[in-house]
Amino acid sequence: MGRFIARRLVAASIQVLVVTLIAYMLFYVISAVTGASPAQRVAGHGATPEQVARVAHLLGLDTPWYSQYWRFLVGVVHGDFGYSFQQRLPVAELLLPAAGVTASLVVGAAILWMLIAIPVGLVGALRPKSAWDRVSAIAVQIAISAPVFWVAPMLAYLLAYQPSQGKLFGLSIPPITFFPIQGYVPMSQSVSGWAISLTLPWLALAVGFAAFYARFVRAFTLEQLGEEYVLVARAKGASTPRILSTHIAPIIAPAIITLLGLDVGATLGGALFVEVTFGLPGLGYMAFSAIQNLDYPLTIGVITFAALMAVLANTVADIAQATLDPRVRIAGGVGNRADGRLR
Amino acid sequence: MSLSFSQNTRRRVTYGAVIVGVAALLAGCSGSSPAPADSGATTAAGSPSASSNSAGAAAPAVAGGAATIGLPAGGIDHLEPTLWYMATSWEVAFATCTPMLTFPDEAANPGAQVVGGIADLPVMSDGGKTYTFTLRPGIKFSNGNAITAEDVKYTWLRMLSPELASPGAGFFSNIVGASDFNAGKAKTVPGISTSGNSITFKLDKPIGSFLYRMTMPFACPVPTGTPMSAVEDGSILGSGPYIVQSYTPNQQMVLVKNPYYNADALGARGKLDTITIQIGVDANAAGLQIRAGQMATYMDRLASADASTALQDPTLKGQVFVGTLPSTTYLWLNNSVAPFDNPKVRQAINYAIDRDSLLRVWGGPSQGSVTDQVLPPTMSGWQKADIYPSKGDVAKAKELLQASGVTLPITATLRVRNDAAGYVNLAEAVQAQLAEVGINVKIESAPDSVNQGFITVPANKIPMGISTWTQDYPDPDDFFGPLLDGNRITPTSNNNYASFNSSSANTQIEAMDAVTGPDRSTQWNAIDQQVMTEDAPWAPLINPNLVSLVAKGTCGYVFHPVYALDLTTLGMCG
Repeated sequence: MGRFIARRLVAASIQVLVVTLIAYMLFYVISAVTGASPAQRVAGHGATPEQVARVAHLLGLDTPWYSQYWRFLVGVVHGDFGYSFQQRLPVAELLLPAAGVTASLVVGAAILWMLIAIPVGLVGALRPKSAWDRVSAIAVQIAISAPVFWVAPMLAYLLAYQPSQGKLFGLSIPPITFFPIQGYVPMSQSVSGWAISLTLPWLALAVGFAAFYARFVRAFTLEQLGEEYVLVARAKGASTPRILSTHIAPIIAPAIITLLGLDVGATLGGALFVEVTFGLPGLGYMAFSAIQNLDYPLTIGVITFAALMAVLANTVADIAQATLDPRVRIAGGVGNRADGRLR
Repeated sequence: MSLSFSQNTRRRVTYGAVIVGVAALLAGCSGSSPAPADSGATTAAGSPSASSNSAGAAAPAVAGGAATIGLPAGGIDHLEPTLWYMATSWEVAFATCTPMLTFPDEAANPGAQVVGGIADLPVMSDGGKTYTFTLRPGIKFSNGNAITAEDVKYTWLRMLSPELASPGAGFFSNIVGASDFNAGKAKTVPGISTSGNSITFKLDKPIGSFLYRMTMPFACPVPTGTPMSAVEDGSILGSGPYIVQSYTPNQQMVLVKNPYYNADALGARGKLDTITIQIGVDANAAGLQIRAGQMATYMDRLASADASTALQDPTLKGQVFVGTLPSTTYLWLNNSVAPFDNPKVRQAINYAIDRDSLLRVWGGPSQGSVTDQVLPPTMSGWQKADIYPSKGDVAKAKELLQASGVTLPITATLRVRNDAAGYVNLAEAVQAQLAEVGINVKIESAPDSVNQGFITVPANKIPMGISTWTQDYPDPDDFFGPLLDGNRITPTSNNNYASFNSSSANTQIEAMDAVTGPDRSTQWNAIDQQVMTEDAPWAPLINPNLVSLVAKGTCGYVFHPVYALDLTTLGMCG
């Protein structure tokens, strides 16, 4: 297991290094081709070329890209992501609160979508072609088809704005504020305020994923329910809950966990639409304005952080999968051969 | 300002309109038509003129209370006064800082008249090359310490220092020794000296707009000994009616009353006890929040769809305001590239453009007004010129093109930003209109940061483009100097995108440095009309508007002609 983890961590480091190198090079290619100048942006439009040159020197932009990249790498090793060109604050100081917001959003949403997906998928698998299964299949199809940039504002409108105007799904109610239309309350300020400010964002982000995961859970469970070992378990008198928890769950869990790791990792990079719609100061929004302002250190910081999160989530998922399924760690990276041997 | 309201908002509208526009539209109701904006004035929706502002949210507020105000993400670029430059940051600056000179808390032209700040209006001598300011007695920083002339001198040295690399330094390069100090070649600025409670600035030549430049918040007073590095937590902003109680970048800022603000010396300012600025509010959702009473108002532009529905909603009468921004959106024509080096071609383009149609593309009368002048109507003493017909005159355009001797069709590239609402649409409309007179336009669009890289380098010889310029201070030399003075064309970082370099115009523009008093605006108006009639280096298109919505129960809304939202006048209704 130790060798497995070490191998995954080395691979993860290389992935992060490659991502940052590509991001750095892209910026410099764009600058070289278009003449776009972060120093000009920082110096303001009243600045003379001499002043722009001085700002470039101050920002360290007058050195070759590879030396800037090396400086960045050395900084990262020391936990220093450099200074934002635009805000002149340490990137880490800007990054950490934003990462906290995005983590709150994504982790909360992931819990929510799993809480929805597992029962919906299991009931669908246990009662295939029943009324419940057909209704949930339609709901799943709608949820998958509804883009988050539509779901999010509709939730804000229907559950935050309309109740404040005395309406709820067409019914007249006393004006009430269930949820803020936008805004984020840090957990340090108020736990209940934090949860209330994130309820609609969690829901907006979870709807689509819940539908996908409900499908996976249903399909995987249905497949396993047809296996002979389930028939044997049933013949021995095992109840359905016992079959699900003891026999089927350990088999389908690694696949679901792997998917979850990928999705959470990718979403941690910034759930831009949800963050924009609900005014959450997370990584996605930060990356967007950093790119617009040619704020290389902040952009690279966000990209590096997002890559780290994605790789970390994948690694955790791999390790979890390896823990649950010994074939993965025994395989030593040659999964098919191991699978064949075990079969 | 480096990032105008429109620039600041556009990036949000660009993608935000897709994201939340549906909710904004759902919130709309049918009702009366929007009223057109008066020149340079603020107009309440459904009202014919600025005079109706006495009702609704424009009624004076009472003192006390607290309010939450929305601000888009990235709306605060800095709280370090030598560095802040965004229009929305300067709204905070107007509440937290009292510069040497400032502006009254009033709408329209009265709000653009320079008045004393921490100093009285200065005594000018030496033919406009020396300005002596006397500090007002009894003024203090928020820590209770008196603001002295030495503090003011230190503030200026800090702003001009190479360590801070302030974008404000360029506006004061005519102070004797300032350029050398800023370049790190000198240890002090001989042009700034103090004596008792007075401070003197010596210039290397008269600068007619010097008083306006002294209002800029770059030189917000800071105590002697403030670090020569950026202080971004707001702790050094101690001279305005409000101070920053707390600031979490990209999340929230809380302003409270400055206990040492001397209202007797500086004038009574500030109604609310506490102002919470919620950062990261999307323009598209801001309207819903204001309607729901979760926010008093928004410090930036509402999304155009939301602005339109708000303007047509009779239940919001007296709560919606349309203010003209101190900006001009223009089609610049590269005067150094054939055939745009021919004034008749440039005049023909000005005739070929149907500005009324372009305004519809831009969002209609609520979003701006058409213009054929360089200067926006917010400029003091501005006079409407009517140089070119707003509906265009294609026959006249064709006649001028024929007289120019150029061979048709002309093919030219037009560069425009694509990360802000309206610009590409404008470019496409211009493309269609110019095609009618035999000018084939090829549009190249890119995000602003990339587009600027192309158009600020004259050697790239970009034939034409659409850009917006927003004033740094309300004097015409902030338009004519950087945009049209050929002697200020630089090989990089050039703002004269049209590469307009007319020796007679250069002489006229530079001669204005020596002109002060009422003649100044009269002469600038004459230059504006003459340049646009004879040289036509651009085709000015639109002066953009800012549509604001104010929540019920909030009063004291003032659309300030320099800073837009005046936080100090906002408060609860009586």
